[in-house]
Amino acid sequence: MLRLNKANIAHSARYLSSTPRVCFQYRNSILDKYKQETEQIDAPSQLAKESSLPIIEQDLKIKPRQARMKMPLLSDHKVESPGYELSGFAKTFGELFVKIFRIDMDITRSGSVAGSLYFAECKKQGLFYPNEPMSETAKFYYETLNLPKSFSQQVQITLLHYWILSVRMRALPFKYAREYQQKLVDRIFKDLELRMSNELGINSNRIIEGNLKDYHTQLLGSVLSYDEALVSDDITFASALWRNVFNGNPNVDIRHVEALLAYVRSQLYVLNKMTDREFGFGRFKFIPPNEVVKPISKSQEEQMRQKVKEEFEKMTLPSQKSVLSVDE
Amino acid sequence: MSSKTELQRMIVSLLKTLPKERLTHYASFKQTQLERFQDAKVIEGISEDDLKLQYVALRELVNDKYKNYYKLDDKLLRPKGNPEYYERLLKEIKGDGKETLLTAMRTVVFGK
Repeated sequence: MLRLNKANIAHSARYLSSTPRVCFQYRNSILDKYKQETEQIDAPSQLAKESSLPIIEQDLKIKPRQARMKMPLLSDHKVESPGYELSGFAKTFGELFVKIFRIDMDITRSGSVAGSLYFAECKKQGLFYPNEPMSETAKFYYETLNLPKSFSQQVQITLLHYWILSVRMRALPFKYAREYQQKLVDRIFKDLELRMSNELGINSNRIIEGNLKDYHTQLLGSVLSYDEALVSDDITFASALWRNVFNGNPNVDIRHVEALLAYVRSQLYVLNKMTDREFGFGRFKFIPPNEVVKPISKSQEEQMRQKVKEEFEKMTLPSQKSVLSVDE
Repeated sequence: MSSKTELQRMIVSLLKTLPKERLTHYASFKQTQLERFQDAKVIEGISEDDLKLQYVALRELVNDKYKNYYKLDDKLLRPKGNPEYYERLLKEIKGDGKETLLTAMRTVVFGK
């Protein structure tokens, strides 16, 4: 009885101004037909898992060679170890050096950002070692999409991620775009060479050279097809992914191709919304395939830009100088 | 069974509408999938739900669902560093305007 009274009091004490705007809009249901339907999209891995098409293993005609040992993700050098920081003296000396000789920090930064940070991002997506638990992203490629567990497959996944980044790098001023792309691709090929020799245990330099040339040709071919696909349509993109990542498998699950396409397009969307400065400073990370990227509104974009501007305005050290745009 | 036949017919007719690939690759998605879905034995091994999902996926690809959902603007499609990049590439692929020796030399020397 007491509870009922309280509820009644609360109900009767509602103020006119508290009437929510939603109710008013709801009453005008006649306008509902003009509302734009917001399409819902699932995460790429969820999309792919929806299909239960029987798997027909593709005959690769060879048994892929597996890694016999594990190399570090980046290198043994202390500079590339996580959590490394320069000493106070080295920092002060470095800042002074940059200031006196007016070093172009955007070019200098391209080495550590593209050649190290972005390289690691590209490499770890499809990376796996036998007898080791797979990362979530590797599971997406080898378990959900059921791609063959081979070194060449890892290379194709790395090249796809290289291309995604290179599309964004192209949108930087030409001088810097070239540096970022060059450093990333150089590091990828250097790493392939080392991994073939150390991890796969290929002793013949001639075979390694031959494989590197093949991978280089594949890089040129896949970049051309992806570029063509980017400015064409989804089906051209799907065909390019099917040829390069799905190895032209005739029994491919089309839902899997669609899921990978959704993944690539979502990464490009995030990169499109990122400013040059953020991207140049290595702020980008690939969104895992089990997460959904939802398009943002103009106002949300403006808010993000404002935050980025405020953050970069505080960076005043000589080594933090940059000519890359914070507006686009 | 009739529903599966209907789905098969829809997939095949959708595949037939796909544009011809501009470049000759080692394998053609359109041709390979047409052969696959016209094969009665292949269809027999696929359940109706899976076949439907294959059709839905193909339809979404043909309808450019993801291109329209994740819209890109001129920032990426006319990149600052090389605004003519995609136009020149498409022209070359379509055969509209071939690169001359001079323009090719310019690309090699200056990178754009």
